[in-house]
Parts: sequence; C-alpha cells; structure tokens
Amino acid sequence: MIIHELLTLPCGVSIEKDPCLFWADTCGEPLLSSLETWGQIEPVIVCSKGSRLVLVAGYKRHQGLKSLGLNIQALHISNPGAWGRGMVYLLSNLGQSLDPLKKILALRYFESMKKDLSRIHQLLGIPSGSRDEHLFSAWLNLPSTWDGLLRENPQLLPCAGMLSSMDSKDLDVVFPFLSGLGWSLNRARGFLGMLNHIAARDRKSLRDVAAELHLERVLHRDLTPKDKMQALLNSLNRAAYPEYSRLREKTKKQLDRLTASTDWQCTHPDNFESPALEFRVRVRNSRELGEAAGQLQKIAGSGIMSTWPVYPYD
Amino acid sequence: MLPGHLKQPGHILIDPSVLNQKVARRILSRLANVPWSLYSDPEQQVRDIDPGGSYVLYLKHYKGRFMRFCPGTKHYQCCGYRIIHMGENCPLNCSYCILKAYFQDSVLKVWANQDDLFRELEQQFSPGSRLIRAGTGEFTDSLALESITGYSRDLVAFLSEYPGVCLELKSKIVDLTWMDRVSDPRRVLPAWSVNSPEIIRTQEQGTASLENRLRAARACADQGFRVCLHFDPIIHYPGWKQGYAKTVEVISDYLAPEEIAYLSLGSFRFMPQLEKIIFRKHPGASYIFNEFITGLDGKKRLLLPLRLEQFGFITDQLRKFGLDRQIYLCMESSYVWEKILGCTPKDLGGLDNHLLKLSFEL
Repeated sequence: MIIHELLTLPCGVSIEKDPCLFWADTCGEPLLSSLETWGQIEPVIVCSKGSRLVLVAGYKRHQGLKSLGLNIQALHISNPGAWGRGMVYLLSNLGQSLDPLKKILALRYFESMKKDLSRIHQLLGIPSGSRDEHLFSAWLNLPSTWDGLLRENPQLLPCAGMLSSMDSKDLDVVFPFLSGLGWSLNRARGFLGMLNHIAARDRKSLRDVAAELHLERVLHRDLTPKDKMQALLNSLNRAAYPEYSRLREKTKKQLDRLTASTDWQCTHPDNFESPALEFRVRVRNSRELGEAAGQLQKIAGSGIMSTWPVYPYD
Repeated sequence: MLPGHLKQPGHILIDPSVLNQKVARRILSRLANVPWSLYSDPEQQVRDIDPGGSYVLYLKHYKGRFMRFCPGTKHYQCCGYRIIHMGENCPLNCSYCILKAYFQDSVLKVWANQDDLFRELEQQFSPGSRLIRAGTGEFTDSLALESITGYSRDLVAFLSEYPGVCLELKSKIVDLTWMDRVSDPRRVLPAWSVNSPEIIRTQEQGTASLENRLRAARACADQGFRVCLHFDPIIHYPGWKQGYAKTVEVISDYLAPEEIAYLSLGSFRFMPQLEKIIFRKHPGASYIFNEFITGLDGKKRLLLPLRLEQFGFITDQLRKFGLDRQIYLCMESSYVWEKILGCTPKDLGGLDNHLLKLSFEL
C-alpha cells in the first residue's frame, strides 16, 4: 500500500532524478507557459530514499517549476521499490503516444529486474504472443546503445530478429551502416540479409566481409544518404549474386542501347528465366502513337536484339 | 529388425476405421513393441503426441483422391506423371527435401484404407482406358517404409491385373522385397534418385550410397526390369563437375544405356519457406547460398545460366555414356529444352506422351 501526503517544497530543494523516469524529457515551451499562467495543477510524485527525496513522476513539471523559481507541489509516497517506482511512473504517463523507442526504454528499465514482463507488455499495448512481443524481446538483447537507432528510425524495429542473432563484434560492424542513413525497412533487411548471406557462404566474419568489400569507404564518400544506401546495396548484391548482378548490368546496358533516342522503355521481367522483354511507351494522341510505332519498327530492325539474351552459355 | 535408414517410430496412431485393414495389421505385427493408440478424439492434435525422441507413424483413413496429377506449373514443362498417393512425409533426412515445406508437420502418414485406394484405381484403370504412367514417389519415398508397410508389394500385385499401367517406384534406399510379386517386369519401373557422391554423403542423411542404389538397379535389370534414374536435385557446389561426372561413371559401371527407361535432370528448386528450414536444420548445407532467383512459378531456382551450364555438362557426360532420347528435363521451359537437348517437348509429341512411349517401349 502506497501511503502518501501532499507536500509543498521550496524551489531550491534537492530532488534526485530516479532511474525510473525512463521517458524523462525536457520541459517544452507549452508546459512552461502553462505553469507560468496557471500554476501547477497536478503534483509531481516523490518518495524518500534514506534522507534523500527522489522524483518518481513529473520530471518535466519539476524542470519547469525550477526554471520559473516556483514552489513544487509534490505527492510524497512511501518507497515502493524499483519495480513499484517504475509502475508509478508508467501508470502516470500512459496517456502519451508510445513509439517503439519509448516502449523499449520502459522495457529496458523493467527487464533489468528479471521479473515477468507480461503486465508491462499489456500496459505498453504489446499483445501477448504477438510478433511485436517477439520483436521487442529481440531488441532487448541488443546493447542499450542501439536504442538511439530507434529514435532516429523506428522502422528498424522489425530488424531486431536478425540483429539479435549477431554477436557483439558483428553488431559493432553493422551499427555505423544502419545509423544516420534513414533506411527503409526493406532496404535495411536487404542490407543485413546480404551481409549475412555472404558471411555464411564464405564462412567469414561480417567484419571481414565489410572490409573486403570496402563498405566503410562508401560512408565517407561525398554522396547523399540515399546514394550511399544504394551504393552499399549494389556492392553487396554484386558479392552475394555475382552472376546475376553481372547479367543485370549487362542487360541494362543492352536494353538502354536498344531504346536510346526513343520514347520506349524496355525491361526484362523474368529474372532471366525466359528471354521475354517488355516494351512500354506513353502516348497522348495518334500522332505520338504513330511516332512510337515508327520507333518500335526501328528497334525491331536494329542488330542489338540479335545479341539478346545475354547468357554466357549461348 | 528395421533396415538402417528407418528408425523405429515412437508411437503409432491409427484411425479406428482402418485398424483391421491388412496394411495396418501388418505394420502392427512388424512393430509389435511400439506403443499405439486409436485416433478417436477429434480434439487431439497428431503433432502434440510425444513420440519420445523418435517420430509418430499415423495410419490414416485417407478421404481424398488417391490418383492425382503431378503438381506441375504452366510455365515449365511437367512430365505428366500420375501420382498414386499412398502417404505423406519421409523418414529420410535430405537437407533439401521439399516435403519439409509442403507439409506442416513431420508425422509420417500412411494411407491405410488400401481397399479404398484399390477401388479408386479399379475405376481409373478400367479395361480399354489409355495407358498410364504412374508412381508413388511424389509425396513420400516409394520404398522407405516398405519394410514395415509392404505397400509397394501390395500395389504391384494389384497392378498385375492392369497391363495398361506402368508403375514407377522412386526411392533413395534399397528395398527389393516387392520384386517377387511382379508378374510382368515390363510394367514396373524401379527408379532411383541419384546425385553426386559428395551430395549423397553430406546432404542425404539415411539414404543408400550411390553404389548401393546402382547395385540394386543392376539386380533389377538382371530380373528383366528397366530402371529409371533421376538426377534431382542437381546441386551447384564447388566441385560439382567432378561429382556429377563421377555419378555418370558409376552409373555406367552398373547399367547399360538400354537398361534405363528414362533419366531426368532437375535442378534444385524450392518454395521460399524451405530456405529458413534448411538454415535451421542443416547449417552445413552451404549450397543454399547460391544464386537463386524467383522463377516464373514463384519457386526459387538456380539462375538460368548456371543451370544451363550444369545441364549441359551432365547431358554431355550422359550422351558419351550412350543415353540420348531417354534424357528429359524436369520442370524446365521449352527454351531450356532447346538449348540442352536440341528439341522441345512439343517436338517429341508432348513430354507426357514421350515418357509414356519410353515406359511402354512403344
């Protein structure tokens, strides 16, 4: 049972920040302005640790009141222990919208106490036995330094399964590539998947694969993040699927030559399973259609088609 | 005493309606020390039974169709093989086995209502109906459970009344106990999947060696049977040329070309979900890291130029040995046929017809 009393604390009183304030954030202008105009409507929550007072909930309000030099209304509760303090904080902040980072920060706090997390999952809106539960559990296996990635790119949470199967050395290798580039989930999965694929195939560490492919150099090149990601993926693609990449590049060149100076686009849709090509053009009137037909006639008559397909076996 | 490839099941589950079927009685007598129970509780999940470190053998009253068409796809040329469906799953442990992705559990199932099977076959094989090339090796190995079921023995005896049916028994093990029930060896085609010795040794756990398969094929040929061989799946791995050349060499040590009714070449292909199963259960199967693309049927298959190189090489070896017309490609496009064999199935009157002619020596 938490026994409480309402205290009015002078602005200068020392109140320590408890680790249970896992979502502690700075006090923004709207709250500051509200405190100035209306005063403190809701008390912060404190408890005692020995002779010290520690803050259990209301970090932003506390920061705001201190900066305004106002007294602090505080609900003093008996110390419910680390788990209880976390619960008090969580329950008093449940109105917030919860992104993956917030959920992970909360889970990290409670997980350190080695207790059953099912109640916490419930409060955080993570259904029991769900894919989300699996992903959050997997992410908890990563060092907490990885949590910043979720702040930057919450889309990376579904990579947790792949990442958590890596050892710390491999994680160190991939971290610089995943941070700062704004990967989409699919591309991040592609990056990790191909890196793992090459390492497993060649029985090498990720570090060796990354070094042999000079992946780190890409990060230092003067490219946009988008181009850096594409360069990384191209490099991995060539290493993971050398013949396929070679064929694709050769095909692209050949098809570009085929349709050069025309309105037509030509693609090969079948992963070289058939020699089929698709031609596409966009026309707006019969004149353009006539022109496109003439261009197609020329394409059909060009010698370039005679070297298609590009298989070496031919 | 069970053969080396077959571990004793931990439990036998039986649908009550098949308990008195001949095949069920035979299995129970041959596995007299294995605990069994009737599967009478519809709430019970077969996969929940604890087989004590072994596997569950389920003698099922099968209610579906026993005769099926091979599940080919329109983009690739299928051999048109008719499947006699006698059970599901396989006790062998080949790393690449597609059945692991096809079926949700690893319970070995035997369709024990043989009376229903034979009744359906009677209808299908009525006198005067067209010639049929059929086989049992699509959803299971034709002979892996033979030592406890005697299923193929029953089937060949039944089919002796139907000269218009040619039965292929496809396996990776050696069991010739069905042979003495065959009345006309021209109507049964014992068949073996073959691979390079290295792939058999490392990826086909529990199966017979290449030499033993071919020794069995020789024994069949000596009894007047023609045999079939299936290079399937052909795996692309370092040293594959030497490996498959060796296989052709061993084949030539045991068989003459005219003793082979037909021979297929099939490249490794798989449903995408098999990839994870292989990673998990067979971490040493490094061939899975090859250049697989998504084919026109949605399955993964080796990039075409690499397949062409393998098909071309093996076909050259087989032609040197003396095979030609008997070689066919399993699930490849007409384009690949043309490149490798110089003709398309259409040129042969359709692959189904071509193989029918080879089966019946027409």
